[in-house]
Amino acid sequence: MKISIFLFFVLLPFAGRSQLNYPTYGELTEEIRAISKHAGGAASSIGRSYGGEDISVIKIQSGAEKKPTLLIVAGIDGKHPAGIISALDVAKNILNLPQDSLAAILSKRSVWIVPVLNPDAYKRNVASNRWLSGNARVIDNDRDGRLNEDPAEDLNRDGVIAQMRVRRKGGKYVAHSDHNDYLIEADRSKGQEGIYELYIEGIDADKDGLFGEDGDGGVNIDRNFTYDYRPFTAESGDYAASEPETRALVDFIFDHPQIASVLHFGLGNNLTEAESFDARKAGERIISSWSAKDVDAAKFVSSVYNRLTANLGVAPKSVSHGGGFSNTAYYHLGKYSFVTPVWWPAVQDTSQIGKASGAKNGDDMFLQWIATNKLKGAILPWAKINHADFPQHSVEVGGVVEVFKNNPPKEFLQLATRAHTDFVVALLHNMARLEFETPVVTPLGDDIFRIDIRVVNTGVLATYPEIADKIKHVSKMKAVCSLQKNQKFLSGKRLQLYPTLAGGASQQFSWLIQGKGSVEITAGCPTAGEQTIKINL
Amino acid sequence: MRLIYIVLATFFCGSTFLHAQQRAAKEADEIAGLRAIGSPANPKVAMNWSRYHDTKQIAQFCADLQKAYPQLVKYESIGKSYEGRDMFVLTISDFSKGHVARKPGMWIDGNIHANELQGSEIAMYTAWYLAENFHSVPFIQELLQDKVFYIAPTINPDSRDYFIHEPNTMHSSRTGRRPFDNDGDGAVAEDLYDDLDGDGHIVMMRRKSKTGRYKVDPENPNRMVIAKPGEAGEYELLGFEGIDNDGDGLVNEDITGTYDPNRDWGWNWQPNYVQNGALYYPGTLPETQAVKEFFFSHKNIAGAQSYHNYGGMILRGPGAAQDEQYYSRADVQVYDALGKVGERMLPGYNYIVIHKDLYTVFGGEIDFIALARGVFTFSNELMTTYKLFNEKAGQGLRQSDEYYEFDKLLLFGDAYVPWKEYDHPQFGKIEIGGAKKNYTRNHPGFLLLEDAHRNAAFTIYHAHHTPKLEVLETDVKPIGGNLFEVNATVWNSRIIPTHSDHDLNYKIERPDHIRLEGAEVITGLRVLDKDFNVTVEQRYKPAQIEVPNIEGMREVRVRWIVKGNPNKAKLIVDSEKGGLLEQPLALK
Repeated sequence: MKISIFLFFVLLPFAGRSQLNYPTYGELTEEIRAISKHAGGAASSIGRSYGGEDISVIKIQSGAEKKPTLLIVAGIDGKHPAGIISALDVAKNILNLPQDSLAAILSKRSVWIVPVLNPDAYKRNVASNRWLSGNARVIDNDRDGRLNEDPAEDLNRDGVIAQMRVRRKGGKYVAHSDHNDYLIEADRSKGQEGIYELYIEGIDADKDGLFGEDGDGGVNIDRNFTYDYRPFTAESGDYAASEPETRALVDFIFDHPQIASVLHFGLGNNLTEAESFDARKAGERIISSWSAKDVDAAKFVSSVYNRLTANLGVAPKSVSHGGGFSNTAYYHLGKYSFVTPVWWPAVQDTSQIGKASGAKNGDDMFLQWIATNKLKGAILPWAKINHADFPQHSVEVGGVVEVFKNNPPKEFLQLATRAHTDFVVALLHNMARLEFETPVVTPLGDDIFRIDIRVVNTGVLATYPEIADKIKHVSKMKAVCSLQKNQKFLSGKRLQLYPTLAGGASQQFSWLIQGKGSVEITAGCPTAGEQTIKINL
Repeated sequence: MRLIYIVLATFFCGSTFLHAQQRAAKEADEIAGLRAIGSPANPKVAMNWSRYHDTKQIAQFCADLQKAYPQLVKYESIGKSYEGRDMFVLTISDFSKGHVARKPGMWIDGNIHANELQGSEIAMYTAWYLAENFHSVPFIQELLQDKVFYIAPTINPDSRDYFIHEPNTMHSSRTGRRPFDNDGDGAVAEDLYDDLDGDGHIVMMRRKSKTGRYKVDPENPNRMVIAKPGEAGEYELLGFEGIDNDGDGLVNEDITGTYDPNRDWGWNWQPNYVQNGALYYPGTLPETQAVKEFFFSHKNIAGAQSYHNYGGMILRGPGAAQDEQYYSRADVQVYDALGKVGERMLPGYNYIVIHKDLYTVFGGEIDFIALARGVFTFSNELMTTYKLFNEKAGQGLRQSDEYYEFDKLLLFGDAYVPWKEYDHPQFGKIEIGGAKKNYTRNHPGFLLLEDAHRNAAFTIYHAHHTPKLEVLETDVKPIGGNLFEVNATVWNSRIIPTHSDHDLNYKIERPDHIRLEGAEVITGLRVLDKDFNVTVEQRYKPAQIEVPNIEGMREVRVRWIVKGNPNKAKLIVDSEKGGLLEQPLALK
């Protein structure tokens, strides 16, 4: 055991590098520490992963005063390490903004970054060079009562798990006409006949007809959140929020009510195309559409996003898998919630895209991008092997290495992270901010006073999305007026809650108070700023 | 090595067990008078089942029962509550027979809603009854040889003590003790009930009023009735005893924990705007987490009961209509078979479905147990007005006058605080009075013992019908050369299958294994139809045939072709919910 740990650390720097050039786990945690230090604080942790790793949060803020906060989260699904690298790049870019513009931003808002919510995945994946979604929990993927009995295997010992094709009658796949090493489904509607069966590289250890269906890789945290959680689906866990990573992030968000918006660098996209409003879904008991007003906000944010990322090409549309963080952050945590993969394959010359029959547009873009950039290691040439499960057939290993579809080598991320830094700055700028006018006190005679306070949301976004007004444990807009013993309310109450305040809108608070002396008024909400005002009557 | 230990342990336990049995018989003889059927004559742990226990007394009971019956009872803490109280689970089984952790298990819990006290007493009574009757009732002996009971008297210990020791209404303290800001003012639990007269009961406030719509019932001065249309009332009702502590114009609006621990479970969980009482996510509370972990580490649990009050119901899931899809006809037949017998055993109780006949619940405990774990689960709503005069009441809890009548005729006024004057800081001259916190929802003492026994008997019936796997027959025949065909038939002699349909659909639990050890297996088959030789070959590890399910009252057949005479082979039946069975392959 000790020896294996020793070997692990000694070998890590070598084993950990693929053509992706992503940092080892040790380098990554060191970088997080360094960025936290640069940001002026020690790296703090929001909890521990299933495997016992710290989940760090980098806090870019000035002073201890709570300010409306944007939370960036990455590294939820282990298959998307590019999000982690991007989150750290964005953090560095923000810290490297000109001093005065950074100071101006941080005087009103804070940016917090959880770069790796699922550290177990990164630690395992970068060491094995096999990019799996889940955390360190050992799960029975195929629910047959055996744990990890049928992992994918590196049959040709080239250090990566790629694909395996078997030339066999009844196969569904053919080679792509322009990209020979890439298999696509034969188009039977055009009379095309398949010649290959396509599997992940591996053997059928448990003879259930499936290859590599139960190996390493625990619960995918991005399937384990509460909104639209889907029980008994692959890697979703035993029940919603069964994983410590899931709970740590939700607890962190509830415990820090100043978090106004969340931006997820992950495998989803509600920015290129904004959330849309569906009156029926928004009106059901279990709400499944953003409200009309929240959609207006989303559309505005998308317009900003599309302007700032125009040079990155056309982003892929996202598919919702249920149990994801981003939807949960809106529907169950009451935050403006945005998600983007940050990077996607894109080429300038799109004339060749989509010409080959049978290939999906996204696939073609990916293939074209690899060809344009002459990228090695993403699509491997096929090499013959002997395979015990197919003694009579020609079996070859090669084809696409899955991780490259969403994660380019590090150097390709720069353009994208610069654009996303601009977007983060713009989003911060547009977040709600309450500004208070000087209170007006009108004496009505006989120690009776009227107090009026007007507050304006000078941001573009509302103080919080409309859905938050429904969620009990989210802090609301409120005004609390504390009196001395000798004073009493003739009108108004000590505490009054208000609904969310739209961008550009104002709210009037007023009380009628009998009795001299000082009163203390606290008003606002944590997501847009609170203020305590003392008034002498 | 291990076998020797088992043999020694069995022998050792067996001999002391014999002693204990003789001693018990002797002690029973020494009691003057005559033992009443169904009750232990001289229990080792003397209990008064006509009262309610706080968590200290529950801990004492667990310790006493374990001390008195170390071979039948073991208790452990499965975790700590929010305020740091232990959550005790009693494991009841015959520890001298078999591997307890592999016996089909029956989970029983109570008191998840802390004001619903009697679930704890009934759970404790069940443990006590099993232990105290083990030596005198052969049925119980066989039951504890085959099964294990996991009994958690209270899974909300903080709030139980709060309900018992602090002022409460009969409805308050349903929640736990974790404080939350319920009214959004940033302060936590700053406007509690106030026990104005200091009697430990939070009762009602009324004020004389010309426009009030209530008047005193001429039949019963404790009771307020609504004035008839056109008739003037005398009083207005001002809610439960309390004052506006935080000056926001509301009384008792920020009491502790207005959440519901029974909305904190991992099946179809929804946030509080969909399901009132929900918190951040399923398992926000340490209490529900601890129970969930227990279920995942005890895959032998095959039946479950979670006690609530009030209303006389034997509830089954689902809690929400959209989960109806997970209840197949076959699974419902199992529930019906048990539930209908329950109705017979529990007069006044109706066997019904939560979402259809009660209300919709998202994220409830019994949905978690039934649907996330595939366990056949009931939840009994204890106490019903039927029990007052042994007849069906015409009206619901709030309109009924039976409670007043019952109090007058059988409790002699013990159940109500009579109205008395009080000078209230905000309401002025008022009167306070009404039903005590331990009346209406919780059984009066003399009814508690009877209902404890009836409900315990129902859970024993439920546990009895968890799967019991037996090898019905085996045969070995030579088929030429040095090859032999081995056939085995295993049947489940009880109602509950090893896997519910729901379990099969979603592969919640692994298949049952029927294994041949000590023979050289060439291949193995499941025999679907013996007469017409319909078989399915299993290629992967054929010595251990994987059987998807062994249905209630049905058999499964397996076959192996082996090399050499398997006269030394062993047959092992290994099922998570059906238990572990091992026997030599008997040769004809």
